Amino acid sequence: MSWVYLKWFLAALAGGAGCGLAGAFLVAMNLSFMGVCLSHAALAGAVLAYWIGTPVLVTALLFSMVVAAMVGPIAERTRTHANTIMSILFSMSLGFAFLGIGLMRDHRTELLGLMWGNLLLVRWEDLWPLFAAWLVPLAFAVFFAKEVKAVLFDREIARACGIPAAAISNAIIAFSGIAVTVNLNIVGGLMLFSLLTHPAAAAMQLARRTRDVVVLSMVLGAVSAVGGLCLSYMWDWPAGASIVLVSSFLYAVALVWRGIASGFNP
Amino acid sequence: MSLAFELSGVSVRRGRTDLLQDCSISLPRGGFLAVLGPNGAGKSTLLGLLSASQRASAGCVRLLGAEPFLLSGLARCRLRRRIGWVPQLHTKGADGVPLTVGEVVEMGRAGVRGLGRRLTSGDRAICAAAMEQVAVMEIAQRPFGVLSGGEQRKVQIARALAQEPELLLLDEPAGHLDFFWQEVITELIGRLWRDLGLTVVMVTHDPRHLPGGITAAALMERGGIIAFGTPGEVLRSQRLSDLYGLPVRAREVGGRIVVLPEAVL
Repeated sequence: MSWVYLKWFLAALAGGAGCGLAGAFLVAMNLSFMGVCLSHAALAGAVLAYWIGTPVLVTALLFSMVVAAMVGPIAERTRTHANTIMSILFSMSLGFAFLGIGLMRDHRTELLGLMWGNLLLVRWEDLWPLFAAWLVPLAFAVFFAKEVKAVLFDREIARACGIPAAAISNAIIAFSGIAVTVNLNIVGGLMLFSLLTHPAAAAMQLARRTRDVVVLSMVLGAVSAVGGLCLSYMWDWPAGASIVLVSSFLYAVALVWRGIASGFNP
Repeated sequence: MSLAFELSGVSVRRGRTDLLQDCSISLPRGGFLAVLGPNGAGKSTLLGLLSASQRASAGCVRLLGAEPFLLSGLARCRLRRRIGWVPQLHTKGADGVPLTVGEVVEMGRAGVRGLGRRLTSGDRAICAAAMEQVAVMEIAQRPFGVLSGGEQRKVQIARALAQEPELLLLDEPAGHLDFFWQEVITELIGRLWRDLGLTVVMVTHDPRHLPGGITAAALMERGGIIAFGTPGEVLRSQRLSDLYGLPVRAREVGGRIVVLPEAVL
């Protein structure tokens, strides 16, 4: 057994669990579309980094943070629903990304790699950001458990109880942006948001307590990523696509399970 | 007598519209203020000011002895812990995180206990006492999302009580409920106010929802306070007729106020 398998396994584990954790927060806060927005903004940022020659990770992170920070203020000032603004920012980001790819013919392979991702090309030095983007938010959620729980339940009520709800939810969105950015190479910017949404949605179907939702979402995210990795290795499928299909399959299983458990009465 | 809050010449603007115009109103500690007015009169904006979540664009707001928006962000958080806010009914379905009734009530202690600190056994005893007060102890283990509107409202009141607030803000507490629950909530609010020595501000569009013996009333219309004083002065037939745009007669029955259209009398 070669060390390379361990490297792949660790990358899939940390990436999947990190996205599952971030996704649980976003889905619970009714911000699942924020995941789409963040991941495509990170993609645009990474493409931009190749264009102007800045560090890829930093630029991608910066781009997704700027886009995330734009949603709230625009929604407040223009009476447009946050979802509408996020779809505009999402398609704008995608436009930027495709523009960059169209213009930079020399870098096309790397840029397409950002779009589709390739877990099998992960390097040892890519692992520590993946683990950091999973474990730091996890430590935050454990330490501020009661505050995070309150904000996930209802931001306005949490604020009225004297919890710094804005700071907590901004931290959650920032953590999600970081998780998305470091996973660009693994899953790819186009399909990354499925790893943010599907495990969390499946966990919400199955778990009855907030802590269980978060833990299960992490587990399902990791299972999706590791399972996708196995499919990708065995049958030579593209890694990103395999991960997305496994996570979709797990969501379907969760729906059926819930259906059986509740006797098909939702 | 020390004041729970005092608003002098307060306006709130959003964009080009005035949500609140030149409002001056105050309430001594231990009082019960009813705020009445049609939809869109600025009642919820007023509660926003009193819960230190809405900033005034002009005038001075003093809340439990402090000016909330002169405080630092953290100090404002600490001020909010002394104010219990019960929002309008928005039925939480299965979409949010699944919290039990007990966990929702514990949110009230989460702020008071402080960032990153675990709830103590004392906190849990306070939560249990709050649930006893509003009689939701039997449903403490049930998911909040499956409760009826009236039960959810009682749990929100328990959550606010768990904060051990000095000021309790109620936004249409009996709104959107059936007759039985309207009476349950009205009776509960009157009892909590008398027994716990709280200061209460209650917003409603229906005087029937007010418990008996309240100390002050205000009428609001289009962002302004058009009448403010004792209930006997404010909740009069002529004033309410003007407010509702319909001839009505206000009567006191057993300490409570009943308003009926003149046409049926």
